[in-house]
Amino acid sequence: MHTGTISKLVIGALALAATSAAAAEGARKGCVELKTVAETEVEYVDEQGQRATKLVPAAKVIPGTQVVWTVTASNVCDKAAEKVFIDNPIPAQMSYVPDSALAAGADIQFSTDGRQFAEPASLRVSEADGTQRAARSSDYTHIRWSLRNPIGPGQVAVARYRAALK
Amino acid sequence: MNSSNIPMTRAALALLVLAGAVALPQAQAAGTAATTSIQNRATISYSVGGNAQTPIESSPTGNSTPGTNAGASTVFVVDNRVDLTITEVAGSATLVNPGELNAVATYLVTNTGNAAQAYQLTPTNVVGGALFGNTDSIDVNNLRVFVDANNNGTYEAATDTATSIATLAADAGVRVFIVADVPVTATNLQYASARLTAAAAVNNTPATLLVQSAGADGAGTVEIVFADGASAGGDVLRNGRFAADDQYAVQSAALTVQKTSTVISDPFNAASNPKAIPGATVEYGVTVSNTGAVAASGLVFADPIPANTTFVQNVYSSGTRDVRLTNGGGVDTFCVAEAGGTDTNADGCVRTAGGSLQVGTPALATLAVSGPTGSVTVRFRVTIN
Repeated sequence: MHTGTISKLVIGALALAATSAAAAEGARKGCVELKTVAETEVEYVDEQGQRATKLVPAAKVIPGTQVVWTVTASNVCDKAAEKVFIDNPIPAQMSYVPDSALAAGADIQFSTDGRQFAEPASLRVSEADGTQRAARSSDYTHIRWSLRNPIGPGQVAVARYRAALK
Repeated sequence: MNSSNIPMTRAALALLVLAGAVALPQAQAAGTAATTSIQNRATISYSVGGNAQTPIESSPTGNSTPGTNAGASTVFVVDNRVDLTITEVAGSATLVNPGELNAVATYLVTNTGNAAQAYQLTPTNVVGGALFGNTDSIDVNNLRVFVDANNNGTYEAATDTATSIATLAADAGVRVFIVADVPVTATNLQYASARLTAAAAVNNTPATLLVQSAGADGAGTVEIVFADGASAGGDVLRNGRFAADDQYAVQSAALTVQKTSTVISDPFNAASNPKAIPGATVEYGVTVSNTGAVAASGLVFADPIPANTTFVQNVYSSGTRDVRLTNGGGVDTFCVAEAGGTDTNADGCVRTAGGSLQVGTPALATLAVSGPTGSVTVRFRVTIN
């Protein structure tokens, strides 16, 4: 199963970490540099007097504020990174903003438990009484971007989404 | 979980996820608490040359070292959303009497922000405007404000002594009383609106008002953001303040007095078309009615016996009583009005040394708002000298 494979990979990494986390410091660099930044959108008036918005490093965030999370993957070696998946758990105190996940050339899937990833239409969650219903965007706990193309040497892939502070 | 060769780690992970779901911090109505650290770390999985590589975690500045915990979370701290509301509790005006001391109006102050906060409280008289359909027409005196220490909704002077809210948790509410004195000069159906304003202050330091943070945010600093709405009295939004009005409605007895006189007999015509000539007997009837909103009590009726007349005793109740009182329902009572100012039989009626007929308790004690006991007619007779 496609998703099962990924889970096992991640679990493998976890198990590895349990024994070699301390050794990670001096470990050999990987082929990709991954960066996550938190930003908020602020409105300003440009030189032409027009209202515009820009992203600034996570400005004042209070309940209800939307934060733009941007994950940047840069290929830092001389070989292409293939079959790229970027996984991001949505912080527990935040709620995914519908239709906000973007990434050029990527398929986006969501999960409500961090294990099963699927397109929004086929995601289901169990209610307390055992019945199932279609997942809502507020149920999402993880986002996965599956890049259709490799990230070539020197190339950068950007994944982004918005989440509102609960 | 339908395969028999699932590694133990996978089962353990499932447990972890489950535990995480249970322990998820529940967002309050006021939202995620200020100072909460929000952490986020992405992971990239990839292959090179067909070989799966160790996943790499993200960091705020970029990480390329593979492996769990080689990356670092991107973090920001939830700022302090300052928000509050005040509501008037009763939903109607507080009924008061003229001259009433320590009349209470009750408000509920609720912290709708995301951190515990202190509040300064200010009571003011509202000038003009309507509340509950009643137009403000007077002010109350000696406005004070007290916090309901035991939150029982009742003002207790000995218990409720704090004049500011030292700390109020996010989502919590506390009752606050405005305590004021009603002017003696207030009359029935006058209204005094009173406004409670609360201003957010540093938690546990109500003397220090909060100041909204200016300038750029520090990701690791808890900034203060005013999020309160506009409210009563032109209070603008996002100023860390909120106001609400309550009202005192003055309810008073309003007495009207009407006096008539009738010639009962004269020495020549007797009771047949008597004329007001010397020696004639005249009956005075004084009707007192309460047209106010509350019963009048402690009534004392006094009427000077006119000059050149002489009070006539023993003319009612088979010639044994001097004064007849008839209530609005037609029920009669009688009393004796002793001369000289001493009510020897304690029936409430007496003639003062100054020559007035005085009728009080128990002959005449209270007048109800309306109905049979809402009016009384006092009758007595004199002869013209």
